[in-house]
Amino acid sequence: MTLFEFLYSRRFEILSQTIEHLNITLVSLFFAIILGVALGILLSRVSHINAIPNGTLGVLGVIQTIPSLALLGFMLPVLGIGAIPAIVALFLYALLPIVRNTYTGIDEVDASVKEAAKGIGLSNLQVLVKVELPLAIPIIFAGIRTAVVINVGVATLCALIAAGGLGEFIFRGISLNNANMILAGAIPAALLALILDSILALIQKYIQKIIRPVLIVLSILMLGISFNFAFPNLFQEPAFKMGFDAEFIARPDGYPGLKSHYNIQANIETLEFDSGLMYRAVKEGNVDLIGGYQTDGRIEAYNLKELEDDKNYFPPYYVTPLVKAETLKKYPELEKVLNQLAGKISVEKMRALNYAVDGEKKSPKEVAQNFLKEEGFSTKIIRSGTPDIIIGGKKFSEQYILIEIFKILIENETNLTVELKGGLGGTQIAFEAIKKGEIDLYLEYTGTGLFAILKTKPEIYEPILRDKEKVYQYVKSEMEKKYNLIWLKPLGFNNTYTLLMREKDSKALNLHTVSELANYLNESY
Amino acid sequence: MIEVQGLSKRFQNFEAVQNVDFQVEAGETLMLIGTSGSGKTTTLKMINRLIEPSSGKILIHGENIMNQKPVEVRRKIGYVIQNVGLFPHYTIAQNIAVIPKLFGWKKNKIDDRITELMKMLDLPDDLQKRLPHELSGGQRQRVGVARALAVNPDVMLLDEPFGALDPITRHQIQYEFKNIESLKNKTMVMVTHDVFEAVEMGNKIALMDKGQVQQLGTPKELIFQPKNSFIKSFFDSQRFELELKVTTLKDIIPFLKTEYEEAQTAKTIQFTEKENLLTILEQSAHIFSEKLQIEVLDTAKNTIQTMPRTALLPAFYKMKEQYEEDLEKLNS
Repeated sequence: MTLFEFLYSRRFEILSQTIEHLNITLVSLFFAIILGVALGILLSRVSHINAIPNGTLGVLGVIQTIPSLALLGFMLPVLGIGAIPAIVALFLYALLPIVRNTYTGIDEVDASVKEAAKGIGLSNLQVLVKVELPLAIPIIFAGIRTAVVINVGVATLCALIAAGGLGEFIFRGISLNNANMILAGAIPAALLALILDSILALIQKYIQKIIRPVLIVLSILMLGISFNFAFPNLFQEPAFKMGFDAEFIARPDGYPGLKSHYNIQANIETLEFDSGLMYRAVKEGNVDLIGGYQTDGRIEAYNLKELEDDKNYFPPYYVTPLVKAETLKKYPELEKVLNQLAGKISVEKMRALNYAVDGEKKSPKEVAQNFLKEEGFSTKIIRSGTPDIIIGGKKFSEQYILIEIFKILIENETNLTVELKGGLGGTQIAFEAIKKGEIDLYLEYTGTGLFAILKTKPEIYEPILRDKEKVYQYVKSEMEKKYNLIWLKPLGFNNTYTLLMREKDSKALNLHTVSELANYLNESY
Repeated sequence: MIEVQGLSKRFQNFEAVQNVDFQVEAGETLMLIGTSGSGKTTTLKMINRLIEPSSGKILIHGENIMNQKPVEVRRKIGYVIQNVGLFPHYTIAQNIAVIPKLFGWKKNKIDDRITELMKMLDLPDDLQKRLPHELSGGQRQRVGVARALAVNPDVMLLDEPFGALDPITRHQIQYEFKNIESLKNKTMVMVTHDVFEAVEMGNKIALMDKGQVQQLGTPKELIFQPKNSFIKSFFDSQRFELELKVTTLKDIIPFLKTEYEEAQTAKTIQFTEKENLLTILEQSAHIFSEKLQIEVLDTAKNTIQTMPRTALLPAFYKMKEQYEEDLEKLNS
């Protein structure tokens, strides 16, 4: 399917996501402009006390440096999920450029013009409205335009806390390794940024003439939209909410397949999340059920209940080192060293390791060392310097721990130096990295290989899907044929999907299996 | 009339202005002169409350300005500053109209006033629709004066109004400024660091140093009867020209020899007796004849007295001798 065909076939979805995106951006911007300009003006009134404007801008600067996902994470317990925290986060990001430019714009108005204005008898307010603000307008607008572009970009991340927007396409595209889908989010987002920027440029040009009507129209519009955001469920009963990450929503072995496999008829609201934030969301009660991963340490830490996959839906996801064939040829000792771990890590073990990091806040390195010591391996040698091997890892705790384990193991059992590149954001990024030779090795899951990388057709995967050995053999041979990449032996645990609820809800509703959940949903909704 | 009594201003630990007294009669111009940091601009800015005094009293037309709102005090006073400070986003006409609008004048009245001021300050009428940056420095300064004059205030404060102009434009505008009819009856305080400007434009000069007025008097008093060595040395570098500048024909007439030979073929130039010697020498400089005759017109008596140009300086020196004798007498 060409990009154009894809865009055309998804045009309604693109339109609705664009509108969501626009709404989030504009509402946050609206409040950021009102508060930012007001704050900038206030700072300019006290500019003779240097500490106040400098301090304020410093604080805003610090906010600006908080990574977007971290900011969303901080706000989760307070503001929950959805559009409101997204708007608050974007609002915070938009403040700095607007406040700083308003303050600087006013502060830098020619001192003699200010003196003359005051000297001939304008009141302070008149100096501000008739002289300082009009002269600062170009700089203030430059700040607003910067904020718009930043906001349109950051708003894509809001898809990770179920706020919707064009980020949904982008993150699904990344997890499905589907470039068209990424572009279906990225192109409209880029256009949106350009269009909003041009509209602001136009407004700036004619601001003196149109300031009043523009302000009135915008205010009414924004209040309407914000009201809609603030009370989206004003006239609706609270419903059962499910939160999934982009991967689970989009993949054939994710939610779409689950619905048909268990025959879930009810149309339940599903919210899209970052996989890291999802657990917090269910813990805090923002959603009632999530699609998590079996080995996640937070399942126990947060008292979550796994619903049993009684109809055997979820495919096997055995984690396995994936190595470039050339690397193995160059360092043949590697295969033996890594295969020492084969079958050594059970689901319970992995969960404990994950919990040590997520719950007990230990460093992945420390956890890795402890594990290897327990298993009787040496952990003494730590090398640094020019690496012989680069190991990649995806951006969740499990992979951070496993790659540390690999590093220690390899450096202690061979003469090779290992460098780690953790935190790769998704299957596509990790896989592209190994294909291009930027990394030599990373950990992949058999199910992911089957669906996301090899994009296997149903007629092939249907017959083998429930058999972990057949799936492993299939992806092993295909991957070697197509990409010259070697799957070593699985580490032992199956990190497949699992549906998770709060334990007390599961007891209250008497839900223990996915079939029971399906019945409950079909009856209740 | 402006009365300043015991005016002081302290900035943290720094005494910018200390106990300054002066009085500017209606229609008079007082020049505040001094080196940078002498407190002259601070003094000026206290008169329209751009700077609040630490102590002391300022009365304008007998009313204490501290009892009025700062904004109202300022609107009644014309204010001109060195960098003009025209609003760059307003046209020339809009700039001049700012204060009339605040006073609620009707549009017709404002338009008429702008046209009148443009003419008065020798600004082409088509500049009205232009923006300040399209004008020359001299034109902008004229617009600054027009803006200050817009509501015809009786009091004007000027902070080095010609300081940013090149020498030629400055002289021209100073000259025009002195001759603008509606400025002649204004009560003005002007800050300058240019001694010639002070002598040229002021009825009175207050020479300031370290926040204090060192001497307050007419230009002639400051130059011929300096109260202390600071004042004397302040004018020393250009003393000769300044002395000529403050000496009028009328001043030296008593010191002329009574009789001069009349030269038959001599050229003559006529001046009034109020003209100063520097101007006379400058204006006659292009005539090289030794026999040039100066005709002095006594406007009151309507009589003419004739003298050769060569007699001017001897008479001037005699006058100076007299001053010095008087000073010595005073000191002993």
